[in-house]
Amino acid sequence: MSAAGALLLIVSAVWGYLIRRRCAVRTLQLIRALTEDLGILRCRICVHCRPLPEILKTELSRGAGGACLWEPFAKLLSTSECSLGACWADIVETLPGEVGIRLAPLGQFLSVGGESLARAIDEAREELAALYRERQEKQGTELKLTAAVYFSFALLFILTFA
Amino acid sequence: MRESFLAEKYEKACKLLPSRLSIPALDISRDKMALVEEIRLRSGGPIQLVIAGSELPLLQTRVIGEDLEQILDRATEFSRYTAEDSLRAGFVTARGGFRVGVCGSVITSDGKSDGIRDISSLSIRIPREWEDIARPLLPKLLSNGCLTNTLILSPPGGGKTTLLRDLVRLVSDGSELAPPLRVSLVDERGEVAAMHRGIAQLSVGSHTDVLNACPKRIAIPMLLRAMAPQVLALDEIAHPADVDAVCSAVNCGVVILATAHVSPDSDWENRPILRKLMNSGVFERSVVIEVHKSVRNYRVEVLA
Repeated sequence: MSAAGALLLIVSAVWGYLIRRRCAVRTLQLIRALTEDLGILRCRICVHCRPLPEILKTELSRGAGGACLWEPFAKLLSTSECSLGACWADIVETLPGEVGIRLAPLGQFLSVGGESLARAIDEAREELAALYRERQEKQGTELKLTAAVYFSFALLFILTFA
Repeated sequence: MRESFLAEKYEKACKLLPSRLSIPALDISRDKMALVEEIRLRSGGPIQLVIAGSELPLLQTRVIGEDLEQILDRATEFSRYTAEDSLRAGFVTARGGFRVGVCGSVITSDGKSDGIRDISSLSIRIPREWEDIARPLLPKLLSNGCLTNTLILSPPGGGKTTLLRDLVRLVSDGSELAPPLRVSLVDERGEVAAMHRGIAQLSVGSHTDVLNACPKRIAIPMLLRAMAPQVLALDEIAHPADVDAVCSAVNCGVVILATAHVSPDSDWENRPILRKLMNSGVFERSVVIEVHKSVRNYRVEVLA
């Protein structure tokens, strides 16, 4: 009975760790996907001069950032009575705080295109890449610490009550 | 039938407006809808519907700057960068062939327009396609079964572009009088074919190649070299260099269909460009459009 309890505690610790890890990895994946998507957006707008709704629908909605940013953005553009800048501001607010802050300035340049948008996208991509590196490093340490804490508590519990 | 078609065009134009403005704009009779030529919006004022040249205000509406920005966003499909060149020239062509004229603060660099900001007014022009208005004129424009170089003359708003468009369509598709001809259309201001993302929004015939938003003096040699047209159609000859380009095209054996402004109260002798055009001996026929009480009369004159 006590062996089953101990096993259950260890499984819970592993499960808790995996959930934390999944959350952390998901944000990292989102940052990486958005960095790539911004590159596509820059190319399609500033080089190929394609219309924004077409880019959103045919290219960006299918990517990893599609579900959380591009698809809702395209939907909002087609239904909202607000300007492009206001729609963008509303959408980036739904992203994790650090990511949203870095993407927010793009709103004012999206419809204008040209050099100003290219510069703004480049800046946003650099900032997202820096955030990715920073978070990856930080999360590596954090996850190790989390794993240590979870397993220590599980073992402590087992040793105390076994 | 035609009224219904024009009313539908007006309804489509209203889709460019935010719902706050489109609801009252659609709250008029369909008869009136069919008569609207333009929707004018000025910041701080009501929507004005242009009917037979006069402005009719929709007093229950009040346009604000944000509305104008939204309309321009919709007209360009949230992609103003795709209409950068035409915006510099003060207009954009929206899906459906609606030409949206833009007014505001012009950003200039090196003495040229570099764009417009702080939009203060917009004019949504509803294209009026009058199919077959050129058909009764066509026999008079032929000489020995061949189309002649033709100049269409009228005051502004007289229907030159509409007539040219229908003439281009007829010539391009062919008729019982003449076989289909390969037409190259120089649509500098985007009013004839109203190209949107490479597709003509207005009917210009199945054998027509459109060179959009390009000055005529550049477009004519390009088309002669690249598209080998049998007929070259041009809207609004207004620059001396255009006249020279037209003369060179005629020397290449191409038939010219062109339009030019004339004032109702002055003849072409008083306008240097028109005088140069007429004296060049290029045109064999002219179609003069006279408007009396909203009714257009087309008079064909043999010039040479």
